[in-house]
Amino acid sequence: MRGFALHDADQSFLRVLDELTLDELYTNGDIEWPTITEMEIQDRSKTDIFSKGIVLLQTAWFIVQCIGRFATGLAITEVEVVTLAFAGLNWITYWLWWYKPTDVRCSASVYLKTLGTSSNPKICEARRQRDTKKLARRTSESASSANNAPKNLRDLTIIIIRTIATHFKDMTVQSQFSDDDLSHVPTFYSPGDEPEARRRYLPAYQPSLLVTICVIVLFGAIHFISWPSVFPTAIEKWLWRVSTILIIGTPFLMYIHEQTFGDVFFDSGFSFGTIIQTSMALILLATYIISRIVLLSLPLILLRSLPPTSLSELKWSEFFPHI
Amino acid sequence: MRLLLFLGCFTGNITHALTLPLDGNTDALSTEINDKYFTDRTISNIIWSCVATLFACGWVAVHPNIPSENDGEVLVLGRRLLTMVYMLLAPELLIRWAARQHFAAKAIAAKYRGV
Repeated sequence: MRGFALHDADQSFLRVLDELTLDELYTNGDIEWPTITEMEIQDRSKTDIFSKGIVLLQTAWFIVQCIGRFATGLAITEVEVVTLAFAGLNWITYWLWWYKPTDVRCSASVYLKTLGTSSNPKICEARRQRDTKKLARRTSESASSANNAPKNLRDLTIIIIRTIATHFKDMTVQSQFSDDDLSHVPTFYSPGDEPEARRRYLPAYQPSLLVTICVIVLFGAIHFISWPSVFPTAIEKWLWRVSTILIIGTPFLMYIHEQTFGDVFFDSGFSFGTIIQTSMALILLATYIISRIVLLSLPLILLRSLPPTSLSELKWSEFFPHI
Repeated sequence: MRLLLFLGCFTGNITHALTLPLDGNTDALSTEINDKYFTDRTISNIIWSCVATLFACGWVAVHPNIPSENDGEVLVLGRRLLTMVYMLLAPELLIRWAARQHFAAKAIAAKYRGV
């Protein structure tokens, strides 16, 4: 995403284009329709079918091995169960991003037809921002960056939490261009997030929600494979079981919370109600993250004492009937 | 890079397969070693196959957005590393992001088909 960049008629970069602005500029006759073809877009991709194939084979082989071990009654270690969950998701990620070119570094350029003053506020704003930036670069570059640096540990913590919360919000709910800086899109941007576009693409949001729900259930369900396995201590057993339930449960609670109270991290005043709602959201988020960390680190600790059959290699020759 | 790795794996296996019939002197030690290689796996085997698969999921499968032209290499790399951390910590979130891009792109493509 961020595929199209608007340049002024004198070739200077103005802003990143979203689909609505591109459409609007074209309708008003400010720009020519970009001529980039599908082949040219794919040409920018830094991977090919070969490397994609290797990755898919790698994950497929891993999945097949786990199924084989399961079928022959060999123990599957918790590390493998966790990896299996990711390997399953990898196929879904690939399906979703199959046509998106990888690691593109340059946008396709779109040029305004004339340098003359425009009546379109979007163009005026972009030109204003470009000129301010030019001026700032000429006067002093270091001054502005020094001002933004956090002054103490408390500021730094707030910045980190805000950044993570912004990223989570960008990925799940909506990510918007910031009007203050039109030169880039958020790291986890997705098109159609502008309020107007959201209304137009609402049908597209239902399937994406459905995919996510399936993924949450699938991902958690794979962790259930280790439910009956032998754990060295009872604490570890219940840590695993509780975390598995929590990573399925909390996303749904978070969704319900979000639907009921709206976005509590960003637009909240200070009242008793909002404090309760914000702390509820924080507790849910913390529960989820802690469960995930447990499910990632516990398997490594469990490697210290493995069930006897978990170290035997699967013998494929015995698996298939001999002729 | 990836090809080299692959070649390494193959040559490793070939030399291994070659040494097997040459071990004519079947003393206890060498059969034990061979048994270990061919029927058992070690913890490092398990970890390596998991790390390779996780790397495939967290790094190779992620298709980031186009960075700003002013962003340096370090920033772009840092962003990809951060994305990998998110993938490991909260894969559902990343999939939600990918799904939203997928279906929005589909809708936009359908709208402008033939323009």
